[in-house]
Amino acid sequence: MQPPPLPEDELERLAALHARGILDTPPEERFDRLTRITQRALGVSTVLISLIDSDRQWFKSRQGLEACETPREISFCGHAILARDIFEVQDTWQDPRFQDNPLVTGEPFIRFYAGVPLFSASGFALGTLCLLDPHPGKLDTGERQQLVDLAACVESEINKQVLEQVRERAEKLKGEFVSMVSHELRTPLTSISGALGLLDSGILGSFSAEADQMLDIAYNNSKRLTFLINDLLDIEKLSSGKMHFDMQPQPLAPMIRQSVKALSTYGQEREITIDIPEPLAEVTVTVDAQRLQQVLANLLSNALKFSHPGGQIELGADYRDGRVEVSVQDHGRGISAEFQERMFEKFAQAEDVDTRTRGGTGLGLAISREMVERMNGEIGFHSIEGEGARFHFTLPASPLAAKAATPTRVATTVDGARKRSAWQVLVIEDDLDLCRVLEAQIGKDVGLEHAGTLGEARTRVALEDFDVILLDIGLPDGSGWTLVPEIRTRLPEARIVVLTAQEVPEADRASVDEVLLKTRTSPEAMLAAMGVPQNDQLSKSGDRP
Amino acid sequence: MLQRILCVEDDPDIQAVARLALQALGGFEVKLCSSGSEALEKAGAFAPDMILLDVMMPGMDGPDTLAALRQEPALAQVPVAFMTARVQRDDISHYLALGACGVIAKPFDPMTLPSQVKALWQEASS
Repeated sequence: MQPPPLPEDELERLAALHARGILDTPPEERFDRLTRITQRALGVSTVLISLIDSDRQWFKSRQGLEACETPREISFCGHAILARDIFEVQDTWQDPRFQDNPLVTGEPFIRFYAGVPLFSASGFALGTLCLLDPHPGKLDTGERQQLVDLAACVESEINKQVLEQVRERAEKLKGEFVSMVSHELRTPLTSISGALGLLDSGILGSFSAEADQMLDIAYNNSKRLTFLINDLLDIEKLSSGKMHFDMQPQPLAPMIRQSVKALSTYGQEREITIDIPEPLAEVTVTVDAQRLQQVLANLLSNALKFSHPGGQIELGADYRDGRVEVSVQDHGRGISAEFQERMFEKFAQAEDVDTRTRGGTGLGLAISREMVERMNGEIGFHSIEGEGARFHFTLPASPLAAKAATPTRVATTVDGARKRSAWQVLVIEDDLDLCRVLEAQIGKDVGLEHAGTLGEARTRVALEDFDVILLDIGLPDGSGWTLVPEIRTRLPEARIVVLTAQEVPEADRASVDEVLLKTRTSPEAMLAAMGVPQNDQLSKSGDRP
Repeated sequence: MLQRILCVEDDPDIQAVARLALQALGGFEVKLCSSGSEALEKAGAFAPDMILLDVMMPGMDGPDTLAALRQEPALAQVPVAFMTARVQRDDISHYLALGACGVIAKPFDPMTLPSQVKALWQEASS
């Protein structure tokens, strides 16, 4: 018997084999499938995928053999890996190299052997795809071709696994890199944006107009860098599956209102109104509230960014058949047909858009899509260039029970009595002096919120709940009366008290709850007109007035 | 009343920004320390109402410093908030589990830092 000699590149060959991490791994169907096909196609008793380790051959897949490894010195495959082509022994009894081999004289009594070496991507012979049979035989040209083709399939499976491992390792390294860099970047950014923020605030004195402008530029861009880092971290967490979603059933409408509120300043700066239809679908969705608001903020800020100044955005939430669709429609420039395909890709931003003025990181929609999908929803959009865009996502939802549908912002004391300070009053008044007087008169009794214009008041009424609206009539951008129908629709239970210096016609009087003359009203009368109980007569229920 | 704040931070630039924001805007008395060991040395005499603690510092890091502060009878009850750039949800729950009263994310907004600190202090003291 002749033991197989070692190949010249044995050390590198072994290194390449061990780097595969394939030795001593459990059987895998992708390999077993190929050995079964080979066994049937070539009509032999045994087919093996044999890997040649330093002192053994180990079988990754085997058909027709019990043993999972045998010593290398008695192996046929040890010889086969020395060839580039098929190594064929037609009758072992006639071959002096093998006739006294224990695998020939004992189990599995090999008479016929054919093996094709399997090479790593870097060209090292790792093992073979081999055929054994207890009868002598000979492969014809067709069979040889078949065996070579099948070996090529096995080879690509082996190398695919390596590519996969390399890809996984690279992916992991990339993730760690992104995370590390992001945190490292934040440290200097903390000083930069902090210092600029303090300068920009004016507490350290004022600057020339040009210096102020430069300061604004630097401050805004430091903030943009912060957003970019946050988005990068989010996308990395999402793609590596490390982002945790705290899924809780909760009503949808407050989350929508909260998101709109968060962006209302930006909307006002750009003079864009956000229309929320009433009623919003009263449904419960099972989501991570923080992530859902992030999605809403992304869609809304995109809509604001791409709206024309003075424009309008419509929000919607419609429930149908167990799902709610939330939509954000703008009337801006829309999305070009060629860009639509890349919409949700990372760093996708339309090239013709001036990113400097639009801001944004190009990651928002990619993040939104991932998040919506992780919360079992779907996201999409529809846009005609020049006519705006409508982004929408759907989530599984269930209708809210009627009772819970009423906002429960009402604070109660332990015994259920309503605290006076829990009364929320919106003062719509452009005269700041009068607001201060009101604050001094009744500020300690009720919660006072202030809106100086009709536009601001409209947004706040749409987004927040109030028990009382104190309404001035002469406002800089129109008459307070025009707001009454909106308040009645959105806050049917709120009391509307008009504050005016002029006589009010009977017809107008009827549409509100009370009319008070400015300057002539005592705090007590004011509170009484607002329906707020006096100190000693707390309402005994948490009901609204 | 929240009056004295001990700020432990190894980056001198962040120290300067935090000091200005807390002193000029918040009207607090601020003591700066550059390391956990310096904080342990000086905290007793300063008697802070609140401690802001950077997480990643050479030598004793934030969590080590927090654990050591908790061993000092005079300081054991003082609310401690971490200031860190690592503010993923898991990180935050980890810091809270260590006994911090809150986490301030870096980069922080200097204009709202005083009110943020005050809110954390109020919550911890109530």
